[in-house]
Amino acid sequence: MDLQLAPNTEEDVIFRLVTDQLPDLVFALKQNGEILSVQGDIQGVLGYSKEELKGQNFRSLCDDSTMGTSGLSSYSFLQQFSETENEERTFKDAQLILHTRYGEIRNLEFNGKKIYDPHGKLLSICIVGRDITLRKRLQDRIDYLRQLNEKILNSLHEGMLVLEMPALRILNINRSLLAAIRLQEFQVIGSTCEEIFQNHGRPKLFADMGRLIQRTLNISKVSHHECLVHDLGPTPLYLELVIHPIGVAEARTRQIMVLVRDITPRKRFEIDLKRRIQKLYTLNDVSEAFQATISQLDNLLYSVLVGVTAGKGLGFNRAFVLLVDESERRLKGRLAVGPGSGEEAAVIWANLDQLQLSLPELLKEGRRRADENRQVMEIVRRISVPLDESGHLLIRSLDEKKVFNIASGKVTGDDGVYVNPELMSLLQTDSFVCIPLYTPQKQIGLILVDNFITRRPVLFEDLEFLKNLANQASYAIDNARLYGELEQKIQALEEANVQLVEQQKALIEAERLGTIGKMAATVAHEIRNPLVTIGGYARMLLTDLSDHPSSCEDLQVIVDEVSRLEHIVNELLDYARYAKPVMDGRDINLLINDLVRRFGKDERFARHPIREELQPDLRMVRIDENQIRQVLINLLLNSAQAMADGGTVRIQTFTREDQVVVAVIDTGCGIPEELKGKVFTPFFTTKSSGTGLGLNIAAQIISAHGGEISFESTEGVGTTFKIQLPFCEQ
Amino acid sequence: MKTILVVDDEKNIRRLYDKELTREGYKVLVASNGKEALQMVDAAPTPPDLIVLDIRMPKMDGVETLGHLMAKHRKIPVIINSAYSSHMDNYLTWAAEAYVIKSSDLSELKSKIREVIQKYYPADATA
Repeated sequence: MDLQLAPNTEEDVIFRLVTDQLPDLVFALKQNGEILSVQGDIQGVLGYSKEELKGQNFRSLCDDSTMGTSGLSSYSFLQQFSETENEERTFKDAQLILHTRYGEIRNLEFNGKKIYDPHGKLLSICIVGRDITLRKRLQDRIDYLRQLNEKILNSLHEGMLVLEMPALRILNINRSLLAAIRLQEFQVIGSTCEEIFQNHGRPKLFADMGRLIQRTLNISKVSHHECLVHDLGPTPLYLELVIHPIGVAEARTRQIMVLVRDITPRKRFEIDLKRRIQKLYTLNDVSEAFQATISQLDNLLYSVLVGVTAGKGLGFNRAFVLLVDESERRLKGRLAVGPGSGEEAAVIWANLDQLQLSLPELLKEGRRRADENRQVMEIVRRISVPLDESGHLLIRSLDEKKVFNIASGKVTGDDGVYVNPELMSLLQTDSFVCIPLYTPQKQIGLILVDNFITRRPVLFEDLEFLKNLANQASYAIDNARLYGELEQKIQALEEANVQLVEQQKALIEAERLGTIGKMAATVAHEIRNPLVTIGGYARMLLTDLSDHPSSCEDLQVIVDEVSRLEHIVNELLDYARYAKPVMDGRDINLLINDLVRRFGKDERFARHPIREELQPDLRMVRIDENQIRQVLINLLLNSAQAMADGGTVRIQTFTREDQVVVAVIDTGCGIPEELKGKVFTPFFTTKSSGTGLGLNIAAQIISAHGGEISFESTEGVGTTFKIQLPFCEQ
Repeated sequence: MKTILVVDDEKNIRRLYDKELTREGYKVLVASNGKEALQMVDAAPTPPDLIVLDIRMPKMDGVETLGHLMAKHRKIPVIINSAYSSHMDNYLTWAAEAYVIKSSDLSELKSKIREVIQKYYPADATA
């Protein structure tokens, strides 16, 4: 059927001119697709003239091999207009691909309508096509970019989220994030952060994010935030949120892109690193404390234990230190730190928290709080293991230089090691660690640590730190001990040196005096005879002139002075003599009786009565009577002279073990503290007249008897000299 | 009355002892050295009852004299009276009854003499 065209009127001409300029192409088709007429810029769009196209089939212009995004072929498109179809049906925006005269491709979008004559007869199918090639290309490009974008976003390991301000409505979310929050896209897109959080009860991240973004709203720059999220998995996750404002300047609403990055491994590493650094600081602090406390072993040990137990250190609940006692051949508990019970722990730890002490402060502070460790101290004092008990866990650790980590009564990694039940019951725990302290040269001891209160398992890393600390502590303890010994030796040396210097002085003095002494001895002998003569005659005259009292007084002066001279001569000669004793078994009580009877009458004891307090039936002693008599006379005279205002001199005898003791006791002036060391040295005297030989001779004599001489003296109270003489062998 | 022989090289001492011991009721003989003393003992019809012997003397000293006395006159007790204590160590002097250091105070010597006489002549003393 032919399509009837309108006659050529002026109006008609103008219409054609206009329609020929239109970018849209208007085709009138027969039902089989034959082109009846074409309007519009057909030349511009497809390169054909209207005349060329008339009579051709519309479908021959179409390229059905590459169907457009609508998936429509030209056949199915035309089918829409078949008679059998509902006549009201129009086909809108169908995209078809057409070839130009030059083989190029054009995308056209068609709308069509069936045209009927007044009688209802189908005149033609009128389709209007618009060249959308350019638009289509752009559209494809956009689609491509969108897909690419989506692919990129979805392949991102990080979560990504685009939010629209101000409600924080979610515009886009990538798969990673969806997977992380375990929600479907439809549950999320279009909802606000707050709604997601409220509707699903999680993740809290969204609530946090909302707050974070609100807070950083005014900041147009990219901002980074870290947050800890507990409800995104079995373990808490550390997330980094990067908030990008991406709002287009002219757009009313601003958009925000949020990148969500799981930084848990990094963060864990960081925290771990921080903890390690903290522990290194601990080691450093403790080791500095070691240096500072080198001279005091207990302070040093205390530092070690605080280093092990302080929260800022290794943070163990309790720590014990045991040391090897070489003399007893035992490993013995020395010091412990830690609470006795959970309640006590709570109090102590709360206190420490409040004080917020640094480790060095803690080390100082702790020494004043020693009473807090009372219970653990009681435990540690009860640990004492012989070093040869090689089956004992502690001794094994020491011998094998091995760290034993005991968990639930068994050594971790070594079931073969026997853990002594009595040790566990003493410590009241079946989980602890023992770390040996040693240097290459010797065994020092052990440290025991546990988490008695918190039951926290011991980490591998803790063991490493413990070993490190133990190593340092071993050397420090060894040093401290050596230092202590050295100090003692130095002190002994100093004392010996002082003695040596004094003895040297005395020796030089003695040598000098020795020469003089020999001379003096000779002179003394020569003097003695004339003294005997003078004194003897004076005494004789004293009896002869007994009825001339004034002469007697004068003679008495001579007699006394001669006696004094004779006494000096005797002392000098005794000293020069230094005889070996001639020993015999004697009852010393008899000797004392005789001595007191004779000397009691001497004028030197006129105001000093001698009181004998002798134990009866005394065993015999082997003595040289003359020498012992000389010693006793010396002591009695000294006692009398010490009591210038008079007073009783007591002489006691008694038995002590296998010796007879003779004590000479006075209540005199006493010997000043500073002179006590010199009493027995030769030529020492406090008297104005005296050689200072008396006590030295006494000491020599007693020592030659195999006995001892000693004294106790308090200034202003009195002095007691004691002679101990061995029993005579039966 | 007991006879005491005092042997001392010092005249003043001899004189002092003579006077003092005579006062004590003894008959006193004196000799100035060991040789003279031995001659006197040998020559005397009755030997002295006791000898007080000095050690350091010219011609013959006390130790040598004591040796001779021990050999010939063992029965006569000897008290050594010396300015020196060093001779106490000489074993020969142990043979003497006593050893008294010279002193202007003769009381020790006198008491030793009494002691020895009582020991040697107990019958006479009680008589």
